[in-house]
Amino acid sequence: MKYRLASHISHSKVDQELVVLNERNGFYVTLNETATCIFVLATSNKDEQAIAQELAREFPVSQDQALEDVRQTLADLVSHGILESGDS
Amino acid sequence: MSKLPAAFGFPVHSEIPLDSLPLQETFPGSRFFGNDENKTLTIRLRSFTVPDIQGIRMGNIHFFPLNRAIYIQVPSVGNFCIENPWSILVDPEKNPKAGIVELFLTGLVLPFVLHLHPLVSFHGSSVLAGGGAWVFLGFSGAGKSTTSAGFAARGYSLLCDDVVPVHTKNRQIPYVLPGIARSKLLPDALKNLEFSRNSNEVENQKNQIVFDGNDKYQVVFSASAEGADCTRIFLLEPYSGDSVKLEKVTGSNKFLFVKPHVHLLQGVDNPAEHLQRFSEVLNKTEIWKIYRPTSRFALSEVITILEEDFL
Repeated sequence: MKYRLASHISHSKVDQELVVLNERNGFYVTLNETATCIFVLATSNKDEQAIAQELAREFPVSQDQALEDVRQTLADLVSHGILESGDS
Repeated sequence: MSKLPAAFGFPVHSEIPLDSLPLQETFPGSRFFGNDENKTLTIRLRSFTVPDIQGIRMGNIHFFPLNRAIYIQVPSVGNFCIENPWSILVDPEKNPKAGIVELFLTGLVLPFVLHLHPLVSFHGSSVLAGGGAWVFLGFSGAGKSTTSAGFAARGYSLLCDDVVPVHTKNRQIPYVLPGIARSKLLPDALKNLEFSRNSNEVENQKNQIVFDGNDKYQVVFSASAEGADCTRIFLLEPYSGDSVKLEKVTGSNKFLFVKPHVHLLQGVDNPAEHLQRFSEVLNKTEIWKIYRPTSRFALSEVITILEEDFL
């Protein structure tokens, strides 16, 4: 599955971590380095499998674990209204 | 060049006497945002009607932006209209208390003007140290004004107190504009500062210590007309430990810890643009937490540690 950035979201990097602003409600969310990496790949039109492969290359984590982490993080980003599923 | 009253690096021409503003010869604010060092912020007395609009309340103060202007209503004081970044209209109430219009102009309305320029405005204080600006932030009672006044008492130039405007556009390093360099100190802090000083700066300034009629003393120190590159931001954190400690802040924690001390004016600042500017400051500036003991007055120790570690 692919994802896209919701239209009401602005973001900016602080050091290597992302700060995300929901312009609808004024709330900010900060992402750690791993979540930032997943966010950046997801908004570069990569699907879950491709993101997990990239993550397994970057961080000391198995492919299966990476895929689980990617799915969880993407679900969190969708639930916060930051990303939208590309299917919708 | 003759000296003019200045606020935040802008020369101010006012029909209302603003005796509390320092007289300066150089104006970095006008240079950056007016493309002309002589560009003046004009304050005029005019009668005007405030549009009947449901705005935003800050205590008993009411404000709202309309057509690029900002209207501010202060009961028993008057109405203010910031027409644009270079023009303010003032419509005072009849027979206001002496000095009250000036107090609100310098303490409230002028800081509002900053929001019409591409700046990040912090609630804190700043001094010139080691060729750059050090900014002190913290929650109420953390010791922002006391720390910068302590530096000023040792001979450092005070840049700002209360409002710290930082300019980022086209800059390699963010730049702190000079603010209104007047420390606002609680009676205890003033007393301790006088007893802990190593220089005669406070003694010399005694005729310039004024009680604000509420809870704080305002102390005028020697101020810088030019700003400086923002080299470090220090977050003052009172704690129950015994010694002063420093801890570097990195990553998104920079945002989380500094964000509560940034002025974001609802309905005036564009939050997305503001986030970009704010991130720029965070990315280009070292940020440190200073843990200071609450059990004793540790100002001298704080200053010595910062001098030893960073100068």
